[in-house]
Amino acid sequence: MDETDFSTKHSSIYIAPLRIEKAPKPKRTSSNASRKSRPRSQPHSRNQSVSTHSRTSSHQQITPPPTPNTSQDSLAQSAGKEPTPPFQPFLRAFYEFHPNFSADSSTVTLPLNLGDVILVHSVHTNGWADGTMLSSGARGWLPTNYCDEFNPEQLRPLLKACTVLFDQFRGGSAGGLRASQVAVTSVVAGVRHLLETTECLTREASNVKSNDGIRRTRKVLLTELSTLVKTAKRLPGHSEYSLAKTATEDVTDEMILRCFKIVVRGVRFLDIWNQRHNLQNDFIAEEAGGAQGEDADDHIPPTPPADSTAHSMGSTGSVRGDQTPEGNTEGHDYRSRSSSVSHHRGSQRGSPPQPQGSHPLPSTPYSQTPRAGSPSSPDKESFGSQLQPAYALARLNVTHDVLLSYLGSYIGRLYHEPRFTPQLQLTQQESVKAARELLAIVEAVEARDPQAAALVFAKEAMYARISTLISAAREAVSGCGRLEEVDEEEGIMIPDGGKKLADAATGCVRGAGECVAKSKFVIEKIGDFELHLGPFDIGLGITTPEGKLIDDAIGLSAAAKAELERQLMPPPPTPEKIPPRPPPKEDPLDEKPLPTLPFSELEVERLTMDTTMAESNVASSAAAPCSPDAASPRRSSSASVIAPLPQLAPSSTQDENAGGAAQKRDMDAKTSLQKSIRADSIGAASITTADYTIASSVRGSELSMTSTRATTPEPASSTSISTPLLTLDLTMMGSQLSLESGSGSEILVPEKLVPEDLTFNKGGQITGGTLPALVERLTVHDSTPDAVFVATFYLTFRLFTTPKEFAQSLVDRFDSVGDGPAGAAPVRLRVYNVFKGWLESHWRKTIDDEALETITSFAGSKLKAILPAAGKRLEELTEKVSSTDGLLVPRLVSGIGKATTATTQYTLPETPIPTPAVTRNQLSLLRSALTGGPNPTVLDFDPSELARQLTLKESKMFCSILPEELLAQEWTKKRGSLATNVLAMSSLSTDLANLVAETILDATDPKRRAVLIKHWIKVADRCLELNNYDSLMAIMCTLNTSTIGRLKRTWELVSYKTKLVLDHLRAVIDVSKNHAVLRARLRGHVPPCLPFLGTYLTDLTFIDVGNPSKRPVSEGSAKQLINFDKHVKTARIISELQRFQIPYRIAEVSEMQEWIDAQIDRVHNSKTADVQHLYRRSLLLEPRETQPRAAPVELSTPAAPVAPKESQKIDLFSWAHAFKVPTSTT
Amino acid sequence: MQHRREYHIVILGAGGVGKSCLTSQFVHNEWIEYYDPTIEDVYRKVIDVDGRSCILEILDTAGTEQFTAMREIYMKAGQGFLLVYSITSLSTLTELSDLRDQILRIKEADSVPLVIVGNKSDLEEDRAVRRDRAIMLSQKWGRVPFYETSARKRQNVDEVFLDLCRQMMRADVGGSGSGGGAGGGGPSEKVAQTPRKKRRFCVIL
Repeated sequence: MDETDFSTKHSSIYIAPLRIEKAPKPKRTSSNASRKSRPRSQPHSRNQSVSTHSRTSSHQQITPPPTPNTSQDSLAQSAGKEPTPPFQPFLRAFYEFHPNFSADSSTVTLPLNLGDVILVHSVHTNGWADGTMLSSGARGWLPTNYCDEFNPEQLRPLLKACTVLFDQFRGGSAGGLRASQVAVTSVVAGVRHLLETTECLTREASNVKSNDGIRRTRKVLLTELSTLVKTAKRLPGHSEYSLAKTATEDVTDEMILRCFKIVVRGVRFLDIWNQRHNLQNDFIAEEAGGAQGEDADDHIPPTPPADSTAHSMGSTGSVRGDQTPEGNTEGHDYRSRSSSVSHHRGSQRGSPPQPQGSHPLPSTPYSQTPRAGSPSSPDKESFGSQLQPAYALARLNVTHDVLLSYLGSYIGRLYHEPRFTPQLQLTQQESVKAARELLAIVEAVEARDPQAAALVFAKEAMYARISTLISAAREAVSGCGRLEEVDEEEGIMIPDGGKKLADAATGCVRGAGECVAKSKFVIEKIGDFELHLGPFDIGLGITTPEGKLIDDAIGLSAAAKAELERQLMPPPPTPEKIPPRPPPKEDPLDEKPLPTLPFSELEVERLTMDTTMAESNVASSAAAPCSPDAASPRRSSSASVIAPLPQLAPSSTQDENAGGAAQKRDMDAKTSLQKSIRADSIGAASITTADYTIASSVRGSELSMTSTRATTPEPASSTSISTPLLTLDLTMMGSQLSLESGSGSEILVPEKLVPEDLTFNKGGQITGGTLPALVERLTVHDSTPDAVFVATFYLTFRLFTTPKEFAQSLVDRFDSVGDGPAGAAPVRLRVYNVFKGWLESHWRKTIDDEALETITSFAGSKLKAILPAAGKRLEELTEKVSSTDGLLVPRLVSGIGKATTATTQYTLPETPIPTPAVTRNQLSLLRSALTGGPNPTVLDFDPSELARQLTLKESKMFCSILPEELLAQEWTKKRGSLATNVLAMSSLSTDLANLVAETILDATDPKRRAVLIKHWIKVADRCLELNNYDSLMAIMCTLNTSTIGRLKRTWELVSYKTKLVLDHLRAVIDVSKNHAVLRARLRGHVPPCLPFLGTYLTDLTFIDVGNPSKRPVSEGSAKQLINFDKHVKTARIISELQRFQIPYRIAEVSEMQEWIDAQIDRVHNSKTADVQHLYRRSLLLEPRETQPRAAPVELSTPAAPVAPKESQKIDLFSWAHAFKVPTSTT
Repeated sequence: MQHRREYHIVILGAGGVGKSCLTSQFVHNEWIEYYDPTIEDVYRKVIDVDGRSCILEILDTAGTEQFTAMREIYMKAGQGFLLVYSITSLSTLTELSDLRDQILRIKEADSVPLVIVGNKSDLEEDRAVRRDRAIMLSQKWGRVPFYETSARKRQNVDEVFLDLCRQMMRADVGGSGSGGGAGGGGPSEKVAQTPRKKRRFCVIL
């Protein structure tokens, strides 16, 4: 089939790439493609039916791939050889695909995990497909050659039904109720077909009875199906429900998502069934066949997407500064990872051992569901890698997160369905287990510091709380038979609507929070230490030897232990027997221990189930605030694909417990917000961040999108804010990624502040606050303050307060925490730390000295009384700052820039410094010029070297710009400006521009002028190559002036080729659309780079002028807060500038530097190097013709009106006018 | 004439005269939480002039006054110019003449759409430039429209841009011949009008 045929037939399924690369990609050579030595790239592609949808090489070149990253290999190699098969709507991933690209990208790609099933909407000619991940509902671009078509016979009717249903609701076909019923019926029929063909139709079937895996997956599948049917009943037309139109859409969204889930579960069921029967489905068989006879390691598709920027970086011009750590690791040895992973997974499933040598089978696709479907989502494999965090703090956090997630889903379940189901039971067990692990860590911490009475107290309380939970559960199920006998779906009704259980679980959340907070405090005091507890017992095994080991190790009190043991061998049914956890995977790629996130994959699955159940409930009881997001397939312009968020039912009948939670919900919501901020910053801040942290930040940002807060209610969320439960859940999700409990620690330090003292934007960033509130944020008791916030504060606080006031607020904060609550101690420590950081790295002597007295007296009295060592240290520091001029501890150029641009690529030190292109002759010429000899001209030197030396000169100035030079338009101050470097740079730019004009006008011969123009164009072009936009701008300004532009005779002698270069350079510095071209280029650059300073200065000016310094709490409110947002914006611009403050690796030619200096000085001090004089010289060189014409190099401005003759006279003497005008206007 | 014409306005004037304030007041007149000057179309605004809608793209290089060499590149991009001075500083007014000379030279014309703007009219007590000085300059330049504005209080801000926009439209329609003649009649009225307008605003405030 030829491609044209295909494209006409299926034109509708082709859609434009989301983003087209600006510059066409250099065509890869085969040597490039074979860097991974993939001899089987061709045979591979044979199997990839969909990659044959991608057309031939010619097409490939016409339509550059919308690769989110640099593409590594040409699809051309593999595509176009096969006849086109019918469009296959379902794909299954058989390679991992974890794109690593910037969050600001407008392209949404879908990360793939082994075995993921994707519904394809369209396939682009370049091999990328637009698809929806069934397991998450996320939609985005994915590389088709990472996938294979998926259409096993058993599932065929179900898959077809799924597309029918999707088209029905998504395609907008107006079939009405009838059609949707048909769709649902066909789904049911599809499931039936699956069960029939696998002989698992009844529960009594031998297949089902003999295999736990099959039984379980079958059950899950059926549960999901019944939910779909229930959901379908809510569609309008059914008598009992009459929903508004929007609600209808919610229902359909939900149905689609649910249908996806059914398919996913069906796939999983089939996988397990296949294993059981030692059969392999098409997918597996093909896969195994493909793997034979070759090194299984070479199983990475060679085609579209590059996971490793590491390799492609050097070869493409479009290098991006957003390389993530995973990207590196993935790039290095993808294959060993994926194979070990699969091995790991295979054994985890507890299925019969895989035949040796076969390709690892992706048989548990569902378990790999990305919880956060963002493209930058974490590498799940590291998640599963179960490496033990060696340090107590890390383990504490991880365990706490796990516990909260379990408790969260536990409470969530209870609220929307007060039944004691097996799932609930399992969740409870996991909660208890996680709690036990937490307590083990707590005990270990306690052992280090036996004096920590508060910790002991918290620990005991936690034990009590878990016991309460367990006994409440036992109470609930007592009297009922074994759960297995009860209907699978119904479970046991819990008498009081689950209130008791929920209470108990909430208590556990609180208790855990307290424990963690106390432990953290102790750890902070004694320092982090390595934990030598056994590996986490995180498998699903109900009782494991390790578990006991932990018990023994920590010496649980007998009663508690008995209780826990009972819980672990509970009266209600244990779910299936679950194979023991596999040994921790050793991943050679993870160089540092990753925090463990002990989700076994089955657990992940269950959590996801929780999610869906919760969602269904949301939809049923309210106008489902957010769930449709997940279902609606869309191409969002923001980079993250939104995965379904767990939500709990905003049920209308809240019991007292929920009411209790309501009191705290503002705080909780705030906390979760704050956490997400922190998580974000963490994610952005550290280069070596473990995957887990990145995951957190992803989840964090999702959270902040849905979080609500009392201070600035948003209309969209106002419906959900009335449901404490939702907020509670969010909080818990928040804590899952945060370092401490949401609710527990809140109790410790009563917040004094009214919520109106701080405002946040949707991203969770602080936008306004009173000084005390901001100071409090700086010294939060329960966590490390957000780095960006702190850096912004240090940089800008002098703009909204005085140093003295700031110092006093810190002292007040210190005083206000009082003696009572235990949370006071961390606050005090933080106050001390803020002082310390200020004195050490942010002290501005001339301004800040006024605060010295306050600080000294504080250090000597109050601080010393409570923290003697800290007091002493602070006193020393105050002495030091008063005796030295510079900073005590040098900042890394900046406080902000380096922290937020962790992914920046610096020039590697190994990069060879280019040898200066200077001949001996030129050097001696320079030397003689410096000792009074004849002055060489620019023509005597190589343009490249001139560009380099100019760049070096400017770069030095640029790198020494201090952040404070850029605040409050400091550089515009008429006298006494501190912005010496900014002013030096602007002056250098101007002088360079004038130097260019002078050198050209100095030549009397048009030919020579043309040569000079060409020479300067070359220099400018080399500057662009060096990413030196500042010099480029200066040179181009002159070449564009009318002074030079009007030299018609000269320009006639400039070659066409040179003019083309000039046109290109002009396009770069184009000022229209707010320097859109320049800005776009800068965004993509990695240092070293010398941006045009002017745009930053303009931006800073506008931020300063365009944003008020105060802002009302809310619109119309009389209460005014410090507009911190303004300062955040300022700091952001400054940090962007700082991103480039990296010196070039250029060898200095001191002679040339001196010579350039001399030239610049001469121009600078020349009285004739101004616009008027230069223009006059231009007129003298080439007088106006009677019929003035637009200069040949005119920009494409609207046709300038032909000047009347009189204007000539005016113009000719305009330089003289210039000096008269002031008097003439008086 | 359904097609929307796009006009480029360049704001010029010495540092500290409040150019950026004028611009930001004009392009973003209501209080928006996210004022981000780095985005592409932040300085673009669609306005309605005498029933015709057109797009204004405003080029304001506030903060880069020291980069004198850059000026021409900005001037080249403009079709209409606001020459802004501050009524609290005489030198800022006298600097305008250089700017105008440069513009005329670049445009190779003896008249371009242009408005003289005396900003900071709210700082009456600090006034250093009497209104008649600016009017004199306006007369000298061929009755170029002159306004006193208070960007901070948003007085006469829209008027300034509207006036300039009308001039650009006339220049657009009239072609090369438009220049001073066509603009001459109108602007003189404006000069007379200005004080009245201002007073009206004072009443409101």
